Amino acid sequence: MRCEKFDAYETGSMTPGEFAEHARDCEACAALAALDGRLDKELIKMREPVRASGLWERIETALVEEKAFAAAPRESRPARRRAFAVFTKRPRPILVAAYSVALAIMVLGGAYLVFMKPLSSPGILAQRALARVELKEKEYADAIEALEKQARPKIQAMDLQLMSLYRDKLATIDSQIDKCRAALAANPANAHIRTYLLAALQDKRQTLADALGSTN
Amino acid sequence: MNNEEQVIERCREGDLAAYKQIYDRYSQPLLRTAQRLLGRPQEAEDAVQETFLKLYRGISGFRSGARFSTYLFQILNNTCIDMLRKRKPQDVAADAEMLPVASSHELGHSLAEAVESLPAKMKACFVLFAIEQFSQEEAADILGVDVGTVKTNVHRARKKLRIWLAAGPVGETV
Repeated sequence: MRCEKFDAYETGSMTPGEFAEHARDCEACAALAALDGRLDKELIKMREPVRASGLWERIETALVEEKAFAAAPRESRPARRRAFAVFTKRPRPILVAAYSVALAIMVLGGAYLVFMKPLSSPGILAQRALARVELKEKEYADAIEALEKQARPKIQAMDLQLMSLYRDKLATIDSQIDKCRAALAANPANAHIRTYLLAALQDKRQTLADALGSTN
Repeated sequence: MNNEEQVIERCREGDLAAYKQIYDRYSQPLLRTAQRLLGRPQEAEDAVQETFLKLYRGISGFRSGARFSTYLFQILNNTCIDMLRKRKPQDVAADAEMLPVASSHELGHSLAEAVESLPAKMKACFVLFAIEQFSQEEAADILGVDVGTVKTNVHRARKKLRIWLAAGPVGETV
């Protein structure tokens, strides 16, 4: 059962006196008023004190830290205030254990880097490898130059069309080689440029070998 | 200058004893409200602690003449909203399983659970007005809504709770 007078009473457009008078004759409003009375009684119970042991101590600790933080010169303040809040709220054993493990890993890792560092540095190793590559590259280039010396008279002896074909191709390859060497002068350890240089040298070797073979 | 104004002035100067006075006076309603809004006692304590930290940081911005309790509860309400936002979806699902079943409640203890199960805004309006006995204007100020919103939400909350109460083992029909 519902009566719109109850809504009017609840929203304040009907005074308690007027409503009480109305409720004497209205069964629905009387029932609702009784329920409302029970609800109000129960709500009083919800105002009972709540237990919070040690809450002020935690707040006080947090405020002291905050005060110290605010008092410290800006540049000497700790990185984060909230980092402390984790422990001032309540100590969580799992969190404490996790922080301890992380700290131990950081300390051991640092010690390893400091004390177990290899004797020869990666920089020296890279320089050695680079020197070996350059030596092999020079040997290869010298061999190709010797091959070119043998092939040159044979190319000159070819018919005009074939000769210009070989000369053009060798000129293109030489230009690639020069570009690679110029780039390597600026960046000697670049493996990609070394690979391009090797490919160009192999191309030249193959072209010269073809020239020698075609005249035979 | 009345006593509360003097305490606030000391708070501005960083006097921790003044904060203790604020705590002694307001910790119970703050804790109760936080518990109703968050539904978890431990989180409620965290919210109150955070409220005091925010108060410490922002007390210089508190205007003399404004109502201090409203200011304090505004901080608490914002803190609770932040905490609710940060909750993981699985936590919310776990909370939903704990909601009261209307037909099997025990009066008293379960009414608190019924209040906790109200929609967030309705609950906040109801808790501040009906339990902590702020005026509708003050509750509106705390929640940053207009008075009409508070009135409507309180009215709807009472209606829901009456229905809930009536559905209980000793309840009448509505």
